[in-house]
Amino acid sequence: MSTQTDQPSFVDRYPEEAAVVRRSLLVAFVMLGIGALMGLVQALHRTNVLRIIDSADYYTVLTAHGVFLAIVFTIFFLVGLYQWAVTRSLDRSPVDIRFTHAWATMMTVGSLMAGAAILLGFIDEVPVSADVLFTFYAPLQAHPIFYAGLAIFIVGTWMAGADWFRTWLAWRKDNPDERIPLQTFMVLTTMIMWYVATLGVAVEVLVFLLPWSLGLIDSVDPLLTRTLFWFFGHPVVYFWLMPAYLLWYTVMPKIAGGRLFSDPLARVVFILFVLLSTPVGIHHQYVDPGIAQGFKFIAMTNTMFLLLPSLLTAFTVVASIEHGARQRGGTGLFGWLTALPWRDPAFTGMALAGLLFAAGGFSGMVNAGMNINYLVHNTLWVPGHFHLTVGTAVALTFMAGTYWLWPQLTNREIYSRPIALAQVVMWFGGMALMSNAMHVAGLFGVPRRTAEPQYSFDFPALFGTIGELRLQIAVGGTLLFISTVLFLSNLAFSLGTPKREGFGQTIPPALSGPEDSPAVLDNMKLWAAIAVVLVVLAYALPLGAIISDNGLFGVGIEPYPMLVRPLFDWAGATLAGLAEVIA
Amino acid sequence: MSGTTVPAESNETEAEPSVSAATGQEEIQRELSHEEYDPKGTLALILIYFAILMAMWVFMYFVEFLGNELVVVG
Amino acid sequence: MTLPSFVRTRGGMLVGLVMLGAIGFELRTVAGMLFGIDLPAAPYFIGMVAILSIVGVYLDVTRSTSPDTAT
Repeated sequence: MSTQTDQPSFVDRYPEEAAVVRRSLLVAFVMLGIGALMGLVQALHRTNVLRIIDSADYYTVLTAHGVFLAIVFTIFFLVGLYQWAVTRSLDRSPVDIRFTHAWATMMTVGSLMAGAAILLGFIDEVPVSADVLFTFYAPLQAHPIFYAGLAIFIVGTWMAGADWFRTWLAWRKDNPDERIPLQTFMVLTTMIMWYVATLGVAVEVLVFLLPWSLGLIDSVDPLLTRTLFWFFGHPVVYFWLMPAYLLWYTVMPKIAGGRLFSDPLARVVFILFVLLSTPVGIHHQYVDPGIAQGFKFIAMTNTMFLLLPSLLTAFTVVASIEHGARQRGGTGLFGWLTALPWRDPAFTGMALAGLLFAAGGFSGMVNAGMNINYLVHNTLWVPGHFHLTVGTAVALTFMAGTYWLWPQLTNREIYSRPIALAQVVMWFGGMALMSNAMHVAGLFGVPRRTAEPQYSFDFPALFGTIGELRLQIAVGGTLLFISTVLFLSNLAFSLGTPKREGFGQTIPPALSGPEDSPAVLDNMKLWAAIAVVLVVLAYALPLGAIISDNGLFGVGIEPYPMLVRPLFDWAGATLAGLAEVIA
Repeated sequence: MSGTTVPAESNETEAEPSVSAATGQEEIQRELSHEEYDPKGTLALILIYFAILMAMWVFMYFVEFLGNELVVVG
Repeated sequence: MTLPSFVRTRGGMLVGLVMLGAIGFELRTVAGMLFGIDLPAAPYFIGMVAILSIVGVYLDVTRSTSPDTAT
């Protein structure tokens, strides 16, 4: 990689912001390393290839894998990327960089608290654990420090959003008649979606799970906390995906040698995500008793509409890279595919991520359909699906994007481009193997989330054998782990490559620019209001029904594990006494 | 440097190559404007994707619904 | 047989071969799940890897090394 440009790089122009971005990415990658190790342990354990942990510790491993990768890795990468995108596309610094440092620190502290609670689950002598999985709803109960860490982390992301909105408002004062630059538009719409979505998890954690874990309240309603979790739990998948989309829409055409096909279409896609991401969460609860079929049907309909922005993306992004290929001299109906820069790990990684995302689209449609969801619910099919989406479309795009972004943040070259290329290709191959085997195993009825997937019945394999599928999962998981190690070590060696000039990059304007789109697309207040209305329509009745059936705090269930109950019983008693005195 | 501040009407896309590009990667050979460019390759790929989706849905109907006995719940 | 002029670099070839490998792998799933044809794993995968290796070696020795000579 010896391309030279006369452009100053991002770190030349915005050294302080680049430092924040680098720090966010480094936290993300540390978590990626730990999470990937947990993934390997799991893949080898449940396939019975290599068992280094006790099966009782499986859920600690699974929780660490889920929380570190799906929450900390993805969201830290997001805030780093978005800080870069806002600074770059508005061409201005945050209003107050101390505030930027403040949210980055808060998010880090929150992650460390939640992460410590999870990892202490391995040490029996310490009565702290958080084996509650990525979906941390009741009746599983974690140590209060886990919930407190999560809350601090989420508040950190809110502050990050506020920081970007503030920067935009300051920019708008100086540029009252200009359209919002596309990257900033993507950041702002993502954050509107995030503010709406995190209301659910904030209520779940602060009103129910944290007081419950502290012993302040005796019981919670599992259905209510599940519903509040999924209120957040589906839009969070778009929170992972939006930064990948940002890279696909704005960076990938550039790397491919072309220009974004349509800026208006990109804006429409992000607006659709603002509107439709949240009122769909109940589609994760198709088999939950206590929610009427009609509400599930509404969630399904909204979900099917939500396919639209992803299909629009498939068109716009592929058309943009085809434009690049044809500018590079590609011809023919399919011949242009060979004119793409396949040796560029940033391009290849993102393209392969998009390819597997298309496959994930199909299994996602199956998950979304109320009737066929029953075929695959809680089977290994579901992890197979989301390893294509968050595990590849998002994670592989982030890694590929890093190969492009990192030199601009450090003025240092990536240590080895061939290793980078091998790494992204290995991720693709490993995931094709593992995810395919998981989907097939799911159709045979192999359950998810268990260290011992052996029940009293035999799984009939329609073809091949269960042993063969297990082997594929183990080999695929190992390839993915090796790929992660290659990525991290390549990046670590890149810290030591000599500094030099010439890493500046421009992003070419879209073929059809923002002036072709109606100005109403930039009206953030309008879209936020409509999103809230849609959420109220989708959730008011189901939540009302749940609360009127069981009350706010349920009919009384015993939490598991009962860690802190003895410790905090006195606190609850004291507070109850106080309440009586006050009353 | 900010790409978005370049007016979209300009055909100034003599952009530098990607920082992650391989050495010796071919440069852009020609400029294609919005009018000159027709994404027919994209259309072909998307039609193939839809064809696969349709085939899998049809297949699923036969196997999962016609192929299984009725299940009566409740 | 004339050499396929589109193969220019080892990097591009690696990507192409891995994609072909993934497609070959999925084809066995399609045969099994959709058509009920149970292809035995070991011979299938060994055969697939062998064919891809031969193709890879062939493409590599016939590869046009200079990008300028490629169409």
